[in-house]
Amino acid sequence: MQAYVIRRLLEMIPVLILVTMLTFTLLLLLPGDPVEAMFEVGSNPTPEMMATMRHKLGLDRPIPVQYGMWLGRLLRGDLGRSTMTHIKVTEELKARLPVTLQLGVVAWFFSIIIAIPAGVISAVYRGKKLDILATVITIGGVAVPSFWLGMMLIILFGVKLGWFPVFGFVSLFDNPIEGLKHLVMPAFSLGVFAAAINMRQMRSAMLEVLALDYIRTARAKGLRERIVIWTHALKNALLPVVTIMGVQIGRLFGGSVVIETLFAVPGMGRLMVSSILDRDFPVVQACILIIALAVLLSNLATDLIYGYIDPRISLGRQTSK
Amino acid sequence: MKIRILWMVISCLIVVALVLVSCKAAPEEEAVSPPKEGSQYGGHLHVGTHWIPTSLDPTTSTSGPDLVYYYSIVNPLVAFDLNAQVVSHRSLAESWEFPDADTLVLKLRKGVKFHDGTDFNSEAVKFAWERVLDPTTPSASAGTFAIIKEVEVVDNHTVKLHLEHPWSGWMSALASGGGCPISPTAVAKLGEEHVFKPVGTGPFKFSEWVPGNYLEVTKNEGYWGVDDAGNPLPYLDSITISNIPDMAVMSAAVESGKIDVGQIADKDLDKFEALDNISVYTLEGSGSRPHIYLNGTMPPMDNIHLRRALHFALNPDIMNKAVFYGRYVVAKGGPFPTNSWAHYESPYRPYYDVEKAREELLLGGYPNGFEMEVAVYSDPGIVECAEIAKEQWAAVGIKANLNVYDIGTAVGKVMLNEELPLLFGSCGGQTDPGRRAETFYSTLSTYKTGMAYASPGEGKDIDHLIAQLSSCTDRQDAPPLLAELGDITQGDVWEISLLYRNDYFAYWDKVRGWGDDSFHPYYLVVEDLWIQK
Repeated sequence: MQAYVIRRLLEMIPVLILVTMLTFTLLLLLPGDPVEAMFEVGSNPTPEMMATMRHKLGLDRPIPVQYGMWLGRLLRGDLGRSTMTHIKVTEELKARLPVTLQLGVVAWFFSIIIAIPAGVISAVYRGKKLDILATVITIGGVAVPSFWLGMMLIILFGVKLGWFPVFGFVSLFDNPIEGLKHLVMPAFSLGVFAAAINMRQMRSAMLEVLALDYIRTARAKGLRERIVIWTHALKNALLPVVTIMGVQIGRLFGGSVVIETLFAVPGMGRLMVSSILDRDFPVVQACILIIALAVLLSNLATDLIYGYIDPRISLGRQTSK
Repeated sequence: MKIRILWMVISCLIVVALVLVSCKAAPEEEAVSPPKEGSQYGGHLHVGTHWIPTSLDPTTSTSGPDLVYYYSIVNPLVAFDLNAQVVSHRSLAESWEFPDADTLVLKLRKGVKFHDGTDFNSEAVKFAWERVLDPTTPSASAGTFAIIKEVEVVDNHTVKLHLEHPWSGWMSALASGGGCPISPTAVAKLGEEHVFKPVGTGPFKFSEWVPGNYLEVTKNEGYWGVDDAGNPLPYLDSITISNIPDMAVMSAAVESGKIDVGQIADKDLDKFEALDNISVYTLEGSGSRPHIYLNGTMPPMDNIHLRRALHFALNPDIMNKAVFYGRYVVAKGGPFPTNSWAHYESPYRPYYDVEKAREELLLGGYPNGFEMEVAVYSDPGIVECAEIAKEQWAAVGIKANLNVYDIGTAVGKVMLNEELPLLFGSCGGQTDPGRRAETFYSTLSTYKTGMAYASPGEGKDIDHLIAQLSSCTDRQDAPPLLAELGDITQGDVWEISLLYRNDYFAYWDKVRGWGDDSFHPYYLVVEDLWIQK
């Protein structure tokens, strides 16, 4: 197991290098000059000032040299400075990453607590009203844009009822109650799409497992139906769902851009959007690196959890018998 | 076992959720209220803004909207109101004079200290400007302050600026950015951290900045400003300025009371005007939007008849109704709105007339129209207006291919790098026509949109005219020059102002002390606001 984990971690390195190289090249090929983007219309920057800034940011060097310099700094733990604010990118990320993580984890949690019970109930009551209701809700969850859902939640729960704040963020570590109040609506908006997908997966997997012989045996032994469903069937049905959930972590990072902008959550998603528009290359590069790393790590975690849940799966050696 | 643990966690979350819903906010503390007619000391103001700051340090700010954040922390050397009249009780300079055309002498206010106890004096002013003029400091004020040859410290509270030439734009230059001194001690001590921990002389001092979230400032107990009755300012204990990118959420935040004042979208105006306990202030003429910049060095914009054809073909009234709910005002004149002292409407300015558009096309040698590439700001309202303009131009045979870019890229393509001939964008609130003319019309400007490039030898010595306007230190001398400049720039269509924008601010009635000078395009004057209990 240890060797497997180390191998997977080492395999991440070339992937990350390729991602950063592609990102770097594509950013520089985008129309627009990051130095010109620093100055608003009418500020009339002098050519000397722009040349000085260009030199200070290293933008007057060839692209491979710029990339090499960036990679060299990265290996020393230096992600450079924002071209707009001039503060260290690591400082920006230190402030923003925990925000997105908290939002993503709570959203992911929402998706689990909705999807698993709903999927199980829908499978158990297949064809009945509960199943139809769950299916309709699921389709709605997939079809409804998260932006629109977020606005509706703001109007209903934020403005009309006044239950939750309509914008902003408080860290769960600073004030858990206020933090959760601020996260409920954005996390729900973000997690509902994942919940819908997971619910359908859960339902399909449960239907498959419930048709197996060992379930019939469990029932024949006289076990209560609750035990059969939630103890014996669910564990095996969770396997494909765990895979989907692990992959969704990367999606939650990307989907958070819209939700963070709507709810004014100061996370990485918002940072990335504003940085792309400002041609703030160091920040964009760092954000994409973090997202790539998150996706790779979540895939690794998924594989490890998979191996833990299903003892038949032997990581690092042969696959399941 | 694992399922049991999962259910326990789910049950706990449900309990927490029920607790949250039933939680009520803690009651606010009672504020101490000394007597003064109407005003009360104490309280907290929560302001919403959709702008993201590039810097909280005015010297290193590269964006006008940064004012909304730092204006409560610093004071300008010269403050002025929306009519460009000086507001001396908010200015760090008590008086000023021009002993000769190329010299400006400022007498600084005495007894003022920065928040860290450093004295505000001539050395601090000199430090601020030298920092602006340092090419390694990315300051939006650098281009403007380049006119300063030398900053001379005459005495502790007298500064003499030796200028390259007479400077009519001095007042607006000293009102923001490099004109707002910050503590040299703090800059030396904090270094680059000062960018987001500014130390100024303003009514409030920096407390906390959470990137992308909010700025919190607290009362400067030693503030030099007083109200009309001589009572110390400010009244408020603290202010939070929150960044809310989405205008719909901003409206919801005001309506729900989560913030006390914020800019609202045009479409929400009727709703807010009908609400109890909330008032709306209309800031008129905060800029020209949409606004078209033309690069006269590039075909087909080097052809005066084709430029006039473009202008004649546009009906901004349609844009106003379709995009801005009829809230804006159709522009009659140049980029200075009707309520600005520098407003001028040229008799040669084209207005919507399809037949005249076709005549100009004929005179320009393109009777069947022409095709051109257009850069468009990636602002939803601007894009919609550009689409309407495209159809209006198509009606006379002009085919416009729209290319949407972010603002920086769009400006670069048209005004700096001469890649595209026309920019469909917007124009922010302007205060000084000389400074604006230097930026957008002069052949000496970094921007290449000056038609002077396109019309050498036509007898219009625009640089000389701009120099005269820039030398007008007395505003009363400006109108004839503004008229002459306006006749050229509007008549020959150097740029096109289509609508004058209005901005709307909604605020809860408990916030008092608002005056005509409270709302500015990018900032609020907060030192004399209070919260009515």
